[in-house]
Amino acid sequence: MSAHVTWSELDATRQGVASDEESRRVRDHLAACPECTASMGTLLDEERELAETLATAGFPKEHREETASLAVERFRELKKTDAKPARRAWEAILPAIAAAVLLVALMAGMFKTSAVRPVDEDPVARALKDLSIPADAESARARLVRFGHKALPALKAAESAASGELQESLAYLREVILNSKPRVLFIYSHPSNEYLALSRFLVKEPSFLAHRIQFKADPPLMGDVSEWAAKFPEQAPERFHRAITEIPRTIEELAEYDIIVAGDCLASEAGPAAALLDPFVRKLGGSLLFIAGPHSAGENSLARATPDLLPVEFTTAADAGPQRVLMTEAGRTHPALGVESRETFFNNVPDVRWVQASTARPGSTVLLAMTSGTPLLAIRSAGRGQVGFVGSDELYMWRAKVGQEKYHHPLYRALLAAMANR
Amino acid sequence: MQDTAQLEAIRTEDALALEAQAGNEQALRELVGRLYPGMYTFVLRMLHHEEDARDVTQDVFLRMVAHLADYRGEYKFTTWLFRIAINRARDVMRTRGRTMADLDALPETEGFLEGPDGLIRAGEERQKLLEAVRRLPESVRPSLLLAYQQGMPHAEIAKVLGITPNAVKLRIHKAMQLLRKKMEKYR
Repeated sequence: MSAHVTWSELDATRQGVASDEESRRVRDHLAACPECTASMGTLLDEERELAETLATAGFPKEHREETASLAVERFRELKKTDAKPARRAWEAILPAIAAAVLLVALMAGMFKTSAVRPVDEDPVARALKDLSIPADAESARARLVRFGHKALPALKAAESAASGELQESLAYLREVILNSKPRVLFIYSHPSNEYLALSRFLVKEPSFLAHRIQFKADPPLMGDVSEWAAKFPEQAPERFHRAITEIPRTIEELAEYDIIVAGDCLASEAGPAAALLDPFVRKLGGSLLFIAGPHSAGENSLARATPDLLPVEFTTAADAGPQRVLMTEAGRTHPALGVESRETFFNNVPDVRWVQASTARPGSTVLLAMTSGTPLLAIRSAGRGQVGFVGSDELYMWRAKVGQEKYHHPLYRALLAAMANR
Repeated sequence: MQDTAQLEAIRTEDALALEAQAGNEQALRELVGRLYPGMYTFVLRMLHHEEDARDVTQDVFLRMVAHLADYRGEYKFTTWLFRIAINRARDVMRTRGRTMADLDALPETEGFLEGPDGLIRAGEERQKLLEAVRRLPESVRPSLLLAYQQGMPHAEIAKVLGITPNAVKLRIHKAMQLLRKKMEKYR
């Protein structure tokens, strides 16, 4: 074995400033040296402690209120003194224009696929038709964003073809859609390493807005961001990444999310939401991602409660022990595996110790499988939405061996982005 | 039950900024309320002086209002805001002559200030860590704070500081090395 790596080398690799050769040497060494792997763990702990320490300053609450009031006051003054705020006024009416365009379009039936208008001759109408926003039980904003992403190319083409206020409105719509972040509801039952790993990912990941709920929270084990964020809600950097205490109970509440990530849960724990997962996916076009765990195949599991949605069928095959991960042909091009250098990435991921025994259902696409053929990641369309299944809650191990963000976070980043149509 | 306030909270700052830009005072108030704690903490860690941190934080938000119309939404609103904050903090450091040399001349704990709400929860180790951060050179401290306090990705920090993402990584690496050395010295 080569000589131990230094703190500086570990950190350089971690921060991404080491040369390729040095990074490779450090990674190879870590793979074979428990002592240095432990040092890398210490380094990551230090980083977490640094982040927590830096974020835990108090702030003067009265001064915040004073500042907000002063800002509003200044805002009013500026509005008064601004003789001809042409651009601001123009922008001020944009939401109204956008709303008007949507309203007119809805009234004209252009969002319905059965619209009789000769849409092929009118790029604007074609874009609006492509938006194809169904009028279900969710807010106009959620509908616009969820379905708007699929229509971005048409919207851009329509914007180029239009002029005047309509062009501005279409540009505004496109901006709203582009600026939206996928909203994730992450539910889990028991405290587990995968829950912690995914929670940390969702908290740190700026591309998503996430709400998390764990049904059987155990404070000592939860010594993670949930507890921390609850203690210091104002200081926590994840101001919009929250631990919540009750799962949404109505379809309208669920509709505010783009993706529901369901860890190892019982149907009873999800309450009324268990029965709403099907309409959430099929009717509202939401995405659902199951992560298998020790209870997934049990009779009362949440996954069992939605067998028509699940991309796999559970079997009782014996545990085959640690196995290599194989990328399927479909996986080579599917956006859900859209990580950098995906061939190398999936050639190098560590073996997976446990995977839920299952077979893919007809109509599902397996993207990752174990050498035994058991699906590790499968996906299927269901109505307007899609459902994914990750067959193991041990992928957190992918971050322990070679650095926190090496494999675990990029995979989930790509997977969740693809499931949100981003 | 997830209440309306929770659903409201997931509106992004960018969306709030655009709403404020369109004349929505409530959105502006909410925007300031949300961003104040993070901004104050950041400025406090930059300046190590509570009064200055209050002044600069307030000034940042008033400048934000004055230039709100210039925000075009091409990048994240907070990127734009932290850029203003860093420039203001540097102005204050320059005008008040608070340089690294001055800091090094201070006794180890003098001027160590936390928030006014008695939220000094940090143990001895944490105080030492803050002290070490405080003594980092100005060239590397903003990168470290934006990365670890604000949780910004390197690409966004690069936009705030007007440098390349690679330079950000190097600065953070340098800061971490210095921190480790300083912490060893305290032990």
